[in-house]
Amino acid sequence: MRKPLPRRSVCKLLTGAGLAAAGAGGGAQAQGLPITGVQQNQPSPAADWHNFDITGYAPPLELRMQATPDGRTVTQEAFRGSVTMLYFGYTFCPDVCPLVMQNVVTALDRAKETGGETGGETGGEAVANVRFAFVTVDPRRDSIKALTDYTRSFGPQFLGLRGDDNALERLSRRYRTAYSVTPSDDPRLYDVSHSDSIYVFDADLNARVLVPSMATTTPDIDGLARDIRRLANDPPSRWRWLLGRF
Amino acid sequence: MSVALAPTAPADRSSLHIALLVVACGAVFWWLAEHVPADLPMVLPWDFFWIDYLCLVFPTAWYIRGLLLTPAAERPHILRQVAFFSGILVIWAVTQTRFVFLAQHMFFLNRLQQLGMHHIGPVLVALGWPGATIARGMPGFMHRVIAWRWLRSTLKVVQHPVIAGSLFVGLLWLWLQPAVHLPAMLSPTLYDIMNLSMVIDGLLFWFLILDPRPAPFAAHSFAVRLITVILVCFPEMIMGARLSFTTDSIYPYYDLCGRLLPSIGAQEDQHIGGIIVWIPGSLISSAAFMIIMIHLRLQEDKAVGGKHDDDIVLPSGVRISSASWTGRAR
Repeated sequence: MRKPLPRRSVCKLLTGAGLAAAGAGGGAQAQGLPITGVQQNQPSPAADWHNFDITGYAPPLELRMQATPDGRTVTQEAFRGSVTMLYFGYTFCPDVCPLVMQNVVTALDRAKETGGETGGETGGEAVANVRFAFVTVDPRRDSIKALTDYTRSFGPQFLGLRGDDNALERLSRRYRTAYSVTPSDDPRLYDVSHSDSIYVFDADLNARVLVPSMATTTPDIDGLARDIRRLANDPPSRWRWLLGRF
Repeated sequence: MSVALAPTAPADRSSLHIALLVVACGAVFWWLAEHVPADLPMVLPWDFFWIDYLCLVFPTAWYIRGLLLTPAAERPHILRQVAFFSGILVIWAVTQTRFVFLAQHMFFLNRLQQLGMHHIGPVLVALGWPGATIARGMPGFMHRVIAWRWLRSTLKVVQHPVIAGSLFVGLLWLWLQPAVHLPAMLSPTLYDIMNLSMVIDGLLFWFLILDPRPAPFAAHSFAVRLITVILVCFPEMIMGARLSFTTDSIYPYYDLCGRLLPSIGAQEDQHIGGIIVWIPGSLISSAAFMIIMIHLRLQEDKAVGGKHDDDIVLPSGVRISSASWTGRAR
């Protein structure tokens, strides 16, 4: 039986809401445009990304952690062949994480829709293969069991990852993620803060887009859906493994 | 040929031992940073890069060896030694330690980091004027490397005042461009290139400016260096003021990857960062200006009044030593 979780800990939103504003940089300027359809096998210019295009400079996926549901140690190789979203959070998070996850569920559902009202949309089937990895920044409290229950509630594409302090620090250092945990016996004083962007890796494990906070008042769910669909349908390239290796 | 076949001199053996020790320490630091980054003490390298480590530690080791090889009476003044070691410590602190993590998650700490690696650290190292001591402690082949004609002529070009001044403000400007800042912060390789370029440029610039010798020995005259150090102030002030007064958040990186101090918002972070570019940058230029003035005064004093020829003899026969206004020893 699942125990009720005390959802009292403070989850500070580290990222500002400023990113929701269009034109914050890179690829975010296209936010808010109506869906016009990204055709499969028709490469669009880089500016067509709806999130920050980090292709070629953020490092490829590399990790070694315990995964849900059975706590088996996995490496990046477990994610090869599917588009992977990487997110840092914790299951006790009262506001930001559930909101981000819920918006991702909605984005994945929209990405799967094909030939909808907007017409011309294809490639939704490939989105079923996309995976969302939820890395806990609070491994003291988040057991594999708790992570399994938590991620399962969002759907079969979600899985949890848990590592000791050093594994977590290596991963967060690699992706420049800020988090801090101040443990306390009193759940009201147990303080966790973490950034809430999502890294998206392609099937060859290259970092491709960085998704700004999905926990703002105006999350670009359609933009995320379109970027995910585009990545899920990206044809394999012989040279893509070279990206971000330098 | 006989030189090449001669057995290794004891001096060369000691530099080999130093090299082995430096590399062995580096290997330990690398292993620790790779495997137990969360358990490291604050002062050890948190994100280890071999190039940064070797470029910083080898010259320091050679300096220490050079000091030990120098007779006590001929060693650099103790204040110069203190300046050199403090400069190295500042560069170590801002490029190696866990401070790097903090500086990756607050814009104003990133500015403080670059101030340390481009201004404060290199200024202190240049004030220590360690060239002769490092050269004395270097292994023999390094003398041939630094005497290499190609390296010499490159140095001559990049230390031309116009080029050195342009590089000094140009690099600061380049890495602050929002379109460059995001990739530079996210890519480990670019991040390292950014830090290395800032440290190397800082050293080149401040070694040119703070040369205690006059023109024929130094590459450029005191006057040229005074003008250079003041001219670089203005673009720095403009960049700093612009950051301080901009109301939009122009660096999405810190929103994307998270700010460590949630109480400081994007705008306030940028505001403090701008002030760090603006005020301490100008303060250091002004301090360097005064230091050059002191060198200039000491040189002129040596040239014209070094033999107390400029003492004033009053009609009553009282002699007023020029030491009272020159600061020279009586």
